[in-house]
Amino acid sequence: MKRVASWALLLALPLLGQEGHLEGRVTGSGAKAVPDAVVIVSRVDTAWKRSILTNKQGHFSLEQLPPGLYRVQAVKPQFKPASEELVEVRMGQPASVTLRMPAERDSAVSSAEYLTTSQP
Amino acid sequence: MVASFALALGPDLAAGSKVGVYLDFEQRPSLAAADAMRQQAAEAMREIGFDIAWRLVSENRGNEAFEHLVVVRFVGTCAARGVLPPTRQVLVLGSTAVSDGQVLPYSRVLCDQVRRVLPDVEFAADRHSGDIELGRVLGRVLAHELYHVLFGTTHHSAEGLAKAVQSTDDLKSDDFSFTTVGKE
Repeated sequence: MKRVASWALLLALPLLGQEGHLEGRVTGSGAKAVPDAVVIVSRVDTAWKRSILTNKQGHFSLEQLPPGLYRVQAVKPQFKPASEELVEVRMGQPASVTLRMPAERDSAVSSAEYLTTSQP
Repeated sequence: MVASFALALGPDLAAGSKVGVYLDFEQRPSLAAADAMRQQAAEAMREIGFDIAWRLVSENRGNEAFEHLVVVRFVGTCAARGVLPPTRQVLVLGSTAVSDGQVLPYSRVLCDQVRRVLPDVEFAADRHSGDIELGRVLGRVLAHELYHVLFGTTHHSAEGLAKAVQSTDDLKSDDFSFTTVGKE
């Protein structure tokens, strides 16, 4: 049994450290944190894509990312979308990005309406 | 119908795409209504290839990623309370944010509006049953908004849950989903 466990460990070892880590922050005007912004992280050379929600401090953190070049953007109603950033994630090294969402829109975001009819 | 939805989204949908739905309640909902809402919405979305993971915005730590993510704000009181006057007007029950033509992953469900078009639910003698019935309808309104976000479209379909205008009979029906065809 011990031998099986050791082999399993040895097989798993090469995988450790082959993944990267991306963390970042979304800020609005005056570097103020933007909580609850949806951050979209997509790999440039494949269709791989993930979304994550910023916390109260505007932070987000993605573990276990395969190394590569990623496109990162953020959206939230009442804000202009943050300009896309390109970030390289390397093995075992944390990458970091700050996304700035330009000044808040003056006009309200329009909505797709969902209507219903009440019955007579 | 399912096939055409799947085709529109691409091949990765076939396996069942994981969607993180973050709920944000303006007021504490009825637990029975919230449970029924989640169950109804999950069932409707599963039918078109989406597997929902429910989360609360208030508990988000910014460290969980999903293939798709949607933030849904529930406005008003999501519980049958027997106080809101009914209406026969056409009301907006939910909406999804659009910016410069792009659908954003943020929706709203208007609980008080839903209660006003469902007087038999709002004034149900058995409040628990009323909450469950309300939750089922809220789940369908939510599923409709998720459809807009996940397909990235402001368009509606001619039939089923993705129609622009729904009747209360359809919303309360035991058998109403994205693939339901009109009964006329």
